[in-house]
Amino acid sequence: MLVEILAGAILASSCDVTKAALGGCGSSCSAGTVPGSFSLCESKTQKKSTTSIAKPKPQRLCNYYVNGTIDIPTLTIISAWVDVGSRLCIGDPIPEPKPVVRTVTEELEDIFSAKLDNPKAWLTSRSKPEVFEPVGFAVESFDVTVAGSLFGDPATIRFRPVAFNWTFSDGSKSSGDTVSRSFSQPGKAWGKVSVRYEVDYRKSGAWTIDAASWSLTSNTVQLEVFDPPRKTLLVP
Amino acid sequence: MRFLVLVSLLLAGCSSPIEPYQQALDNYSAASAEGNLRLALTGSALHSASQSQEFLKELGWTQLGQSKFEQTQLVGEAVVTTCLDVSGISFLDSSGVPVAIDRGGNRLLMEIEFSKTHPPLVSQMQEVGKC
Repeated sequence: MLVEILAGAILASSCDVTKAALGGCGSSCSAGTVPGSFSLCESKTQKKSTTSIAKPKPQRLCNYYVNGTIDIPTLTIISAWVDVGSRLCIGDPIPEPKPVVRTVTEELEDIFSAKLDNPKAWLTSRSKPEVFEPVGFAVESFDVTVAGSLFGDPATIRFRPVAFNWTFSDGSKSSGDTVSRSFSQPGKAWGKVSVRYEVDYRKSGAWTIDAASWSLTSNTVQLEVFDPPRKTLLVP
Repeated sequence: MRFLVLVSLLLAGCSSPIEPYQQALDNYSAASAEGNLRLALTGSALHSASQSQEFLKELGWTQLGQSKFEQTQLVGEAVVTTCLDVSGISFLDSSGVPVAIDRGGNRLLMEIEFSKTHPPLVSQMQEVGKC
């Protein structure tokens, strides 16, 4: 997809030493190649040249706001060649609202790329419980705000955890940032959680909320369930 | 003999056409480190640098170190290309902890326009590649 930024102010904006040192001067943007570091980059991909005889999909030039919508205006407008029918563009009739589950979409790739450490999960109870003993699991559930750049300009990016989906070694599932469950079989067991983040950004002034959503999986929390020897009490 | 001395003095007095621009860039490096940008920048370059300073202030970050402009070449009227080395610049967050920045490279090829004032001030700066 060929992406152009229409906002003249951004195209005309200059670079400076600080921006260059922050990795925000255009082609230096490298999308988080260093572990633990962060960069947020405009994605400029080229239309693939067609060398095969396959009929290319019809495309159209589509304008939409940088937050991915066509009805929540932003200062920046993205103009991109898209497959016909693949997305709504400014000027298209807005369909009746219906529940939408936001996922990692191409909008995220077009707007920026980012690196965020995986959420950390841990046990809140002992690591060697007995069978059927309640075991507590917890995961980090605070907002993470990082610095980056958006379309070459410095921006603040915020990741808000909004959903926590746990999976356990026995196949059961649970939700919430803290959960409790028990295991019926002795032996090694584990739990891990997928955290869904809503991504907000701010270039100056107010935050743009829910620009995208992103899911990350936590570390696997290991534990060992044991079955204590049972004593038989003989009653005369 | 007098003639030769005069020629020598004249030659010594002729500075390279790149010299005022290199001097302006060196001034910019120093001004950027000191935060005194109006002495070196004007126009959109000053606007951009002011935005960056505001951004750092908002984050509570501190910029350390100084950049270097090297291999400067005049490519047009008051336009140069130069290699901007930002390896000497680092950032501390509000707790004083170094911030890892993924720059994708420390040496950036920049095209820089200057105002036609004396001394020249940087008015526009764009990254055009790596060096």
